[in-house]
Amino acid sequence: MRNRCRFDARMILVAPALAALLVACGGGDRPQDEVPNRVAPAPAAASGPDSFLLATNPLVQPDGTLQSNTLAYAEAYYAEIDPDNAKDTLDKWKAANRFDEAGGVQVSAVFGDFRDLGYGRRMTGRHNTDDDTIAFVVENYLVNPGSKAYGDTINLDAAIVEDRQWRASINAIEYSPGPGGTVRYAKFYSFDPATGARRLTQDLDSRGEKALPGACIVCHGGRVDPLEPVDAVTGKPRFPLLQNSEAAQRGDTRGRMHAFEVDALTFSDRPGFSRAEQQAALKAMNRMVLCSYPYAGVQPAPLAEDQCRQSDTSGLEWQASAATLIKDGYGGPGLPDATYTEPPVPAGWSNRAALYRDVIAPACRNCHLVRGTGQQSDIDFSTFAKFDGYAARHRYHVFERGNMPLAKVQFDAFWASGMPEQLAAYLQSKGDPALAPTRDAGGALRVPGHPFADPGPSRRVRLGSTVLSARASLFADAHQWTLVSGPNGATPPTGANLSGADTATPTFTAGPAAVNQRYVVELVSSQGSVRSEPARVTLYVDAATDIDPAAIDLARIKTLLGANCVGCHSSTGTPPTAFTAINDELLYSRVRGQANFSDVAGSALLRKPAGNHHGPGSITGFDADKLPGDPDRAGYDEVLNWILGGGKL
Amino acid sequence: MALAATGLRAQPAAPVDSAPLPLYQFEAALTHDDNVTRGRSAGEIRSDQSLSVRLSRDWSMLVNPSTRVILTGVGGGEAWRRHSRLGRGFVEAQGMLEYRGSGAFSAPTFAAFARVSGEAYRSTLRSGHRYALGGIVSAALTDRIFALASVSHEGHVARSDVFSGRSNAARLNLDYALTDRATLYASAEYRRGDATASGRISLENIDISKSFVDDDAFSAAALKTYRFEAETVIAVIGCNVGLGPNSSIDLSWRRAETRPTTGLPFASDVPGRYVANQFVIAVLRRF
Repeated sequence: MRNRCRFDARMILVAPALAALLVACGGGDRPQDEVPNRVAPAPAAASGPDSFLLATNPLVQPDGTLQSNTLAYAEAYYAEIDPDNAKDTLDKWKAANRFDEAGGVQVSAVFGDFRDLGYGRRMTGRHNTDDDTIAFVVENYLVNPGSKAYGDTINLDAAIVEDRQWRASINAIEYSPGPGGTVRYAKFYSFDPATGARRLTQDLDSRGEKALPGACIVCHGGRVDPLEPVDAVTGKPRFPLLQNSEAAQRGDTRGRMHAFEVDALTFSDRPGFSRAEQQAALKAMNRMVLCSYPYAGVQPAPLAEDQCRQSDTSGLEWQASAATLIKDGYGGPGLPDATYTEPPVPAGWSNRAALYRDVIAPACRNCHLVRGTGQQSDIDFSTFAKFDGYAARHRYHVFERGNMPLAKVQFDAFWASGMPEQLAAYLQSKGDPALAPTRDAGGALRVPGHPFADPGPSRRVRLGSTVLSARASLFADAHQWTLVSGPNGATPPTGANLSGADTATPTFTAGPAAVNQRYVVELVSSQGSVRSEPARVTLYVDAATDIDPAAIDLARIKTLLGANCVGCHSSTGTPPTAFTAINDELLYSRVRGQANFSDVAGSALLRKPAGNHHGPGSITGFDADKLPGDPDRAGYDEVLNWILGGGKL
Repeated sequence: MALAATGLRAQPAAPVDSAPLPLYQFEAALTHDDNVTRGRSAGEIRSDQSLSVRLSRDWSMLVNPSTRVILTGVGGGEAWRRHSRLGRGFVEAQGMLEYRGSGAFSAPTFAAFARVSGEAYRSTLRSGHRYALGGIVSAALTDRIFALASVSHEGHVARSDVFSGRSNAARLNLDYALTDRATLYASAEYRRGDATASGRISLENIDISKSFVDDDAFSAAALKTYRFEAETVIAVIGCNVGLGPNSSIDLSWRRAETRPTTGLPFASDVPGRYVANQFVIAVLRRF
């Protein structure tokens, strides 16, 4: 064989070796390939705040589950608003609301809602002008759910072209009378985008499924009240009835429709979908929303845009703070402007215009403005005074707990902006160190997720042993307690001691010498090597034998309610919750629902009688500014210890 | 390039002891690519020019009078004028088993081949290795026309999943000898499988993509490259002119049109395909 035909095995070995060498020389880190999720993956465990779209009082049950986030809660809701399942599919719901029928007003718009939920949204609103029922259905588009967002315009594009592989959900709100009723109120639905079946849960933020209607109404002004005991007929718990609801129906959560704040929406430059091209539709939608807002009292000479509004003859309903936003957005009464413009800073905020414009309007207003009742509307933040009344809660919810802003997209945007510093500056300006948000060593505000120590409110404790608890601490898995001072500030303290100081539940033991003395206990909670700021609690040792939390039961609370609350909270009263003319089982569910076991100090059962945003102001015996043991806060201590004892029946 | 010039033609196995074939082939080529990004819309398309060199050596071994094995080793590199990170070096090894049943003029030659190559790009995403398996049948149709048809399966494993993938291809090639020294050639190829394109994030691109990566070769343009399922039609026409017994110059136009096989569920004004044209001038020498 000639030379050219020889098989040179060495070359066959050399070539792959050279190839391997070249490949190895590619260098660099492994590239970050992205695979778009067609279906939202299971949410990863959150290491920081993860209470988005849950009520601030989510109704912690004895087993630790959140009643407002259970299927039972959703089932009870739909059993009330649709007992015959006449609207258990999207098609049936649309038919019931007369979508696509002749008559009435029906308009659609497509926009990006990147301030709140991050969706591209295809919204259709319908106003049946013969009975002034109103309904909105929205298809929500989210590209690559649960992972990296590809930018605002992508979700909007998906909504515009109706790219249904990215249609994450279909939500609907219907403003109509409930079964057998005449008074219209808002009802909330979600439908499966693939099957059209009504859903009991929805994952609105890729943080996992949350039960309806809670996931919707927490930002739509609705109340989250506890279910009532199991009904003898159905064998299931019933959805609560709000005592002062004009509709007097169990499905009326007081939820409302949001105004379309057009400046907060984003639009496409695709033909037909620009802001200018959709202004008319959006105005028509805002007219519909306005129609769904109650009108206080009887309208003597209603303007055209108000003629469809329902009179609130009792004056107990939400007083439609957001109606002003819509009207002012279109130039005032009569809605003269064709296009929406962000209204001027309200008069009640004129002294804090920058705070309103830069923080409240973009981060708080949307949810808060649809809250409140005719009797108490501080929570709508429509004036600075109302907002300022919640200063301590702002610090807690925004800077410590991290459940405000309430939606993940908005929370992230908030912390990526200058808003936290502006809010912190306001809190610091109040001059109370307890209100100033914590900062790291470099002076930067701490984003929620940093360990937060919460030893609970100061309280009366009994002679002998009392178990303390760090369960309310946040983002921490280790705790260190210290008995800081004793009688009259004495250090080291005498007459009492602390055992199990490195546990979540240490025992404070007070001897006879401690009676009628106050002790200060400090808690530092930590996650790994990251420690919280210390938090202190004052314990007043009382010789009384009846203050063991485990010994306080509903009967004792019922006595307190009878003495202090039922004058208003009665079956004929005007507050939303009545404590009379009901059996103890129902009373227990209602009273327990006013306790917040995830934030004891934030319990309505403590804050309301203490004078916080409470119609009649403070109630004798509930002066939380007094130290434990003071007779002026005896009622407060009693209720507090009942809650700390788990809310015994 | 004309098969006769490139050595891609399956060489007749018989007679095997005709005039000695050169062992080495060297190529140097200048290419203008009008869509080096493989973009679909105007904002995604970039053009560039490259210079490439390639040196190969054949080892031929007769198995029997009708069958032989040809082993080929190749090394080379490519440099781009603007998008320097597309530059690469590579080595390749190919083994081909040829069979020709008779020495009749029109007797076809059948061949099966396997090829592996390693590539190192200046882009960290693309470096990896390729493999190909395939079959070829070729025959002289007349004294001027030579035809070749092939099918192949190819795979690419790269550092980035985007640049990894598989495809199957079928190809038909015709050489037409104008004179003793000049050959016109044309080929058509249909390829189906994974393809890549670069572009901005858009719904259209996301919808068809299997995966994305920020492309370090086009970082200045902030383009992402994505892999998608596609069908590609490649057409080549060219002319090879001999400059001497072992040298030639080759001019060709290569046009590739790639179309996603995953349809969009909506009407879009974004082009549904991308088209790339390559104009190549190459000098070849065998020795």
